[in-house]
Amino acid sequence: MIEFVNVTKTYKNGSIVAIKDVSFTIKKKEFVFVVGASGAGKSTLVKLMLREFLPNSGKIIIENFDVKKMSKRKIPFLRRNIGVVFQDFRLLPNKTVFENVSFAMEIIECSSKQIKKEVPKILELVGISNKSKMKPFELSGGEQQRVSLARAIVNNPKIVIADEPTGNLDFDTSFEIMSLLKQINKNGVTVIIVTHAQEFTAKMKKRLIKLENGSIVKDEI
Amino acid sequence: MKIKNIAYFISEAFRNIFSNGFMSLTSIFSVMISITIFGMFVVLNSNLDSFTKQIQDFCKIRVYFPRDLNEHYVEKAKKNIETINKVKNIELISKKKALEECKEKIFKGRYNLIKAFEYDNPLRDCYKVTLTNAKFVEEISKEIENIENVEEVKYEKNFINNILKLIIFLKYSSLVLVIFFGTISILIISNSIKIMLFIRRKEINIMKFIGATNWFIKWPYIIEGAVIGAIGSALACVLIFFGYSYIISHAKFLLEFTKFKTLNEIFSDTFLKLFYFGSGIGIIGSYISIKKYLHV
Repeated sequence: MIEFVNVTKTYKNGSIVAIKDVSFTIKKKEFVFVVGASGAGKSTLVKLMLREFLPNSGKIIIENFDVKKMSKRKIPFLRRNIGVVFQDFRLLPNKTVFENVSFAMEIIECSSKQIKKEVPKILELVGISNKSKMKPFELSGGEQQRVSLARAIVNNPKIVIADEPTGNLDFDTSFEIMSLLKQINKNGVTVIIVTHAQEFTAKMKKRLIKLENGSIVKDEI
Repeated sequence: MKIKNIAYFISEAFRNIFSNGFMSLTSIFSVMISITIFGMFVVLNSNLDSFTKQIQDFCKIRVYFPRDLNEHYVEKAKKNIETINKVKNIELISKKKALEECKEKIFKGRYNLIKAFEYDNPLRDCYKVTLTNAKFVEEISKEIENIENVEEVKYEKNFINNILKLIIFLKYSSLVLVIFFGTISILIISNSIKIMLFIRRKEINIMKFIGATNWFIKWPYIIEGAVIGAIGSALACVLIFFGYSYIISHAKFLLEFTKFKTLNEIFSDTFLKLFYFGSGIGIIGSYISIKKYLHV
């Protein structure tokens, strides 16, 4: 569960207001689009959820973490609840597809037995198991995004945040990625898609939170 | 910490070292040079310690009594000297013995020149007083001067004072050098870790988003710093080893002044220290960079 209560975040000593008095709740297993033009405050929202920085005021609850009150030491454990997918994929260029995914398990200290068992399953799920030995530069954009999606879900997070996941992809590939995210959501994961691409939001008939100048102007299904 | 993690940290550390081989080599080389220079002073210092001990024995106060003083009073004065703190040993050179020595050393073969002295010995009874610490020679000789019947107190004042000053100077300057070269090594290592963090910034960023703990991210870099420091100091030890064995086998003339520590002694008390010191500054250096540039 994600809960924002009257959250305000400003930059440069208050001269730039990124998010103004924003409140919303996202329940477990929900599928939500967060839309808005660039500068509307979408990225700030994501960064607040990941506890990259703290809000100036307001309360943020993510799963069982009170983001504002928790100690810095616990940040990694908050983030283990959240899988993140980026527009630019952020894969490690010198590691293979398999390694890029297993890396996520390694750093949260999983056993190699678990890794050997889980990674192929996830690669199968996102439909890229035949390329597990390739390096990212040998893959197309859509394939790279699949790997990054695999990495985001391999540790069974409760929430997946996709920040412009289709920003660099053509329509068909974007559609495939969206279907994958929908499937992940069906498996019981809360999915939040941050995007300015409106073509899917209408089609998919999911909850949509629209931001404008740091405030929510629309929140409907 | 799990054993599997330790293996991971170590393999990551070595991956960092090898993936930027040239930079690692430069760091190791620079650490080696500063630790070699620093190590030379440590070796010098530990030789100075044994040298100082030898000086203690060399540094004797000679206490003279009037020519015609009764043996009984000389004996009594000895008891008084013994009560002074920091007096290690008192050796009597009686006037008789002194004359014998004179015959042996100075007038050998021309003994008749001093034959008359046997009836009227011009020499005086003397005590050679050894101190536990040569530093106090001036103070103690003044104390001895005040003892009853003591006629004169002599010691190699200037020589001893100068040597002591030199030793103190060398000790302090090596302390300064320790700080100086230690700091330089720390800066070198911290700089190479900084570059490593910069090269790896994307990877570190991803690790943070996936939920790696801070220490999980930090460990490989700390190990890397320790390894660079350890290799650098091990190489420095090798250099010093060969340098030192060259000096003690080629500079025999110095042996007339002082005894050198043997390679074994140097090995046990210096090399281990240098090795720990090198690894330690490696850890400090990388920790500084991590603290400064790794915002986890």
